[in-house]
Amino acid sequence: MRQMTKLTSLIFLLLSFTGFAQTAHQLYLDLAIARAKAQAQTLIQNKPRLYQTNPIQEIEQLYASWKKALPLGFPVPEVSYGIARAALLRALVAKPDLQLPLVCEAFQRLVEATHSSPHVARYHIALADLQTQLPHPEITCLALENEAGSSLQKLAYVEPSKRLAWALSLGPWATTDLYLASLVYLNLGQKMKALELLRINQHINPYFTTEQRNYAAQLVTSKAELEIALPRQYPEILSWVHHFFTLRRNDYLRWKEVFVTTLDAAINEVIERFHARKLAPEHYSAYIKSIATVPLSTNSDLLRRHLDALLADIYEVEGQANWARILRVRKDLNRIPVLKAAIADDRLPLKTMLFGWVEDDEQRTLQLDVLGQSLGIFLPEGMNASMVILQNQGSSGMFGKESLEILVSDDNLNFHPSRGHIETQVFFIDGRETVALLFEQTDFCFLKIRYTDPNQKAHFENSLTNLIQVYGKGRI
Amino acid sequence: MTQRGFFIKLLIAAAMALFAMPLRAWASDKLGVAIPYPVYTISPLALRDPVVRILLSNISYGLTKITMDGDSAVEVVQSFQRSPDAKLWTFALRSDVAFSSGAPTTAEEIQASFQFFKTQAAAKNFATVEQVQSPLEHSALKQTKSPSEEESSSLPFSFSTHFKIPTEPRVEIENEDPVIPTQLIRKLQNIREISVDRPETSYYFQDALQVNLKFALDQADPDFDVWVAPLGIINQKVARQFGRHFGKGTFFSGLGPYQIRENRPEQGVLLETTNNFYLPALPRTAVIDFQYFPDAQSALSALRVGAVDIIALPTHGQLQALKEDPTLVAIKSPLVNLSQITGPWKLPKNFWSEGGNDSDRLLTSQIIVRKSLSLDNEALARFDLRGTFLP
Repeated sequence: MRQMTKLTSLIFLLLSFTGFAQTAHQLYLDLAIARAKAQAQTLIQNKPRLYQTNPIQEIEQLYASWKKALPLGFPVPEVSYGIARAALLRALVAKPDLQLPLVCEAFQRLVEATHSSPHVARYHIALADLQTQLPHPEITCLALENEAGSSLQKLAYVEPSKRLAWALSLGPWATTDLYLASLVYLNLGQKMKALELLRINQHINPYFTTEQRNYAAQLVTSKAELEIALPRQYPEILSWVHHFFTLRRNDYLRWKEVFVTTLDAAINEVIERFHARKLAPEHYSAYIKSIATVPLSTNSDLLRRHLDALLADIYEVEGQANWARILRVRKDLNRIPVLKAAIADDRLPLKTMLFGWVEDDEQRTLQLDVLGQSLGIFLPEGMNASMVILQNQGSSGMFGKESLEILVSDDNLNFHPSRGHIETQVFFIDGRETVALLFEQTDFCFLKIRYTDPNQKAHFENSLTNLIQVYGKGRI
Repeated sequence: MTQRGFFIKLLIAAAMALFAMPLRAWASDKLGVAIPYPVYTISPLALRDPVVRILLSNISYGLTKITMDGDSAVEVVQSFQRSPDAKLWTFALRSDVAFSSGAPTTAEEIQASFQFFKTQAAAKNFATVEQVQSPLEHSALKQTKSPSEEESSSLPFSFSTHFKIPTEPRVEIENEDPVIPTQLIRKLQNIREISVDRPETSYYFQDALQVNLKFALDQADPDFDVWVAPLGIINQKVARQFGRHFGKGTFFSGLGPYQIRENRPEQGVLLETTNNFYLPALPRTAVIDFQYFPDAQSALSALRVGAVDIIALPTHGQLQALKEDPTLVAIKSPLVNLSQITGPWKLPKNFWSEGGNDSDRLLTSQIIVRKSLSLDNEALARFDLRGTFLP
């Protein structure tokens, strides 16, 4: 009986000691990992300093910290991953004779991590990244008579692309992992896949930087690639539209159709979010209004009609019923691609011909409220204009209906006031003045708009494409 | 006053006059050119109408230009070269050229312009009637069918060609609108492909790199650079929107120092400088007024009083009258040089006035100018008035 009690006590003590040792080991492990991660964060934040002052000591300390997290030598996946990253970092600054052993050690540790935790995507992505840069480590590291060399001989080779595919199937993904995976795909020459991952990253990563976005945009060299890479969500897509519009105008014009259809999809996505109550009403209206101000929206009938319908409801709710009515009328009209002209000093407006024609989507700005100036349009054959919208970019003052003189002509030789009735409505929408001219009948091919108020109060200016917009029906 | 003192005073006076003069003669405000018939349509392919050709020389430049020697030189392009077999021509484009509207003239725009010319040349194949010089050449007469009304209405330019086949072997063409030179049609049809050669590089630096335009020809053409000169580059996007009105009134957008400010056929055509011309300090004259005069005498009177400075197509009678006026002079017309490429001129009318006689016959070999008018080589070579001014 006494022996039984001694045995029980011994077992109890053994179990207690084992539990205590495990707890202490886990505690030590957690502390060591936390310390190593903190050191790594410090290095990342001091990134510029890394390349300028070459802090070998800090990197070696980081490496040593990760190594210390394995006091008993048992592989822990997170620690193996940490050692691998630190070894690669150390290889950057180490002497040449140490670089290969460090890389091989990184390989070994990543293999350990993936074997121990095959369901952690990060480890597979890191290993795939290393595999693309050192395709056959079992040969390269074979010469090393060390632990890494011998264990890599046992590595069952999995192609990087297959490893990546497995990693991506594990989802959900950390944004950094996705970004790294896209870079690995680029190294593998699978650009489409890389662009797709970059697109997904932009959707889920609120910290996707402008530099990263520019990098992703730079990768796009064809319409097909743009279709893959272009984000389908607001506001990311607007960044891309702006990027191509300002920096790659030729490509923007060539691939405009892709931007239009994708932006239309983004609008639908915003609507879905709103209807699913994932978007507050004020944010919803702000998003739609923001999209409506983009040049792509004003020059595409597909987008403009969609937005007009949405904006009409929004402005109706905001108490701008008259403007909402105009939008509902405009929704059913086409934007007519007119030609525009401006005469700075039109002293004989009834006799002066319009000249110096520019296209409807001209981006240069013009000020409307300049005395003596005539702003003209030519209506292409077969078109009937029923609405002209004059839109100010800024919010300085407001001019009345009587400030404008409208002249029309059939032949650009003689101008006269329109025989039909023109209804003029002035609005102040979101801080911008907008004038709507509604034509009862189209009795002209040429139109002149002149500002006549000598007591100038407003500063009415905008890009020519937005300053004057002509809507109507006819053969486009 | 001693002789020495006189010369010293003369030198001082000369020095004062020299420093009193501006270091560079300033541009004049307006230049007047008298024309004998109204211009209803300015077609970029109507290169055998002398007045239209003069207008095009100022509002629509080609890739190259014709010099006084009849050779070609760069204009809108920086350089050009041909392949050894003369079937591939490469033009290196300038990056600073823009249409009169201010829209940049890209390689694609120039490509579209030439594609347009090719299409029009193919459609205009009816206009191949050539003037027969003698009865023996009657068999050489080539004639194709004139366009149907439907074809005519679909063409951007309202051409109408009236054929009269008299009993005499000489065939005369009466044109309401001028026709395209036959040789030009053949040259355009010889172009197999026009391609833009843009270097593959980061897209953010493409604007700074050289863009080339390549013309692949079916048959070798060692003179491609010469005959491509009169083909003025036009803004295709704007031209399409003008539709069949393109070329009428102010409906024209080309690449040149001037743009059409007014075109009232019964009065004339007014050209004004563009703000986007790529050569600095040009043009020298702000406005060129092509005034139509119904008779030669009124044109000559206008020249004498200073209302115009050039008579583009003078008559024998006007040339005779020069003897009485020491301020005017007749010189060789640039039209002589221009006709080397596109052939003899097709005048809408042969005499300045209706029912005129030989002294009223319009001449394309000379022009009458004011002696004080400063004409540069561009004006003398092809009636390009960008450097012309009245001091």
